[in-house]
Amino acid sequence: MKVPWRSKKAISDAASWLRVQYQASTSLPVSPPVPVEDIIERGLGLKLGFTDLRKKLKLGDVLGATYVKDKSIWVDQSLADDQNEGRLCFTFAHEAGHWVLHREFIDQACRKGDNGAYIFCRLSHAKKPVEWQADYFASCLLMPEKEVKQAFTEVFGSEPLILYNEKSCFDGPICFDPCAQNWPLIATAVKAAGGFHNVSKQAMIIRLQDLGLVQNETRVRLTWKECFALV
Amino acid sequence: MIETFGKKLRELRIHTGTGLRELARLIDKSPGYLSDVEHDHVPPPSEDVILKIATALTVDKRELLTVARKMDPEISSYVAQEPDAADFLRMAKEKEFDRDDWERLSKLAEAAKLGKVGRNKR
Repeated sequence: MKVPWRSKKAISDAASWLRVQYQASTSLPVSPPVPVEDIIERGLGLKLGFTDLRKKLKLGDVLGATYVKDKSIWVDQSLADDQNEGRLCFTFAHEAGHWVLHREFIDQACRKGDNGAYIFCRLSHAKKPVEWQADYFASCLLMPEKEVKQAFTEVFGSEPLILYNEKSCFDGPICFDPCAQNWPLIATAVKAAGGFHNVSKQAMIIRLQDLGLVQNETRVRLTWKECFALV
Repeated sequence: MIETFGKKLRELRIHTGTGLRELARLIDKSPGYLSDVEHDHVPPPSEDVILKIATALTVDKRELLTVARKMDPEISSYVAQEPDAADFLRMAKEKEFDRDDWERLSKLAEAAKLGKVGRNKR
């Protein structure tokens, strides 16, 4: 499905708007961990459900689906069974992103299902613009810029961390130096300081880089795969 | 529109600000199952589970039991222990009591009970 280009700022503003709207309608403060399920149900007024989407849509790598006419968001049952809070909440926030950013286009362009027009999200479609926008929305919704910067400053100070080395110069659990290999420790520290309990380390390190708080000058990417390869 | 158990449950859950996964955890069921119940993809759960839901959400159990067309286990047990109550219900069924009959009967029963209390006080 084709969607118009949107700037990062426009997407970030849309996520902020949703948090503000939720706060106004429920009189509940929105601080991390951002209550994404309640934002979907009470903020957006959508139905939320778990089902075997992989079987239902006959797609092996589907994670979530947003149905426009039925005003519902469905997440694959396996994500709830995995007990991976970060992955599950990111999928909720991603689908909320489709609702906020793309629902009018879904109606027009998507294939028709039993409940009307819908969009389904597959791992293999992650690089498509429509999926990138929903991912970026999820990142902004769950990790607001102000709160992330505050948590980062609390742990690492006001200057960005610049990763020049791939591997650590130290050996031991007491302290760690900023290097590509240590990205999970950096993400964990910021998560703990800011109370971002429902985001994964991977999502946090991507957000930190996006906000310019962590700058990776090495050749390796800050992913689990490349982190393990360095050990 | 017909009120189903799933719709009622979802309405009460959202009204009390309880998440789907949170409620599933509180009643010791999977989020997938609870989701199926809320969307009426499966029949309403057993009486015991409905009571657990009512306790978790701190709502009146009668609301959920009524819409699920299930009997409160306390009432079943009462009827089982009071043969006269069972006979009375059987008679009501045979005579096809309707809502008006039950309303009148409730008032009569209340008055009878009050009269009894009054006599005891004197």
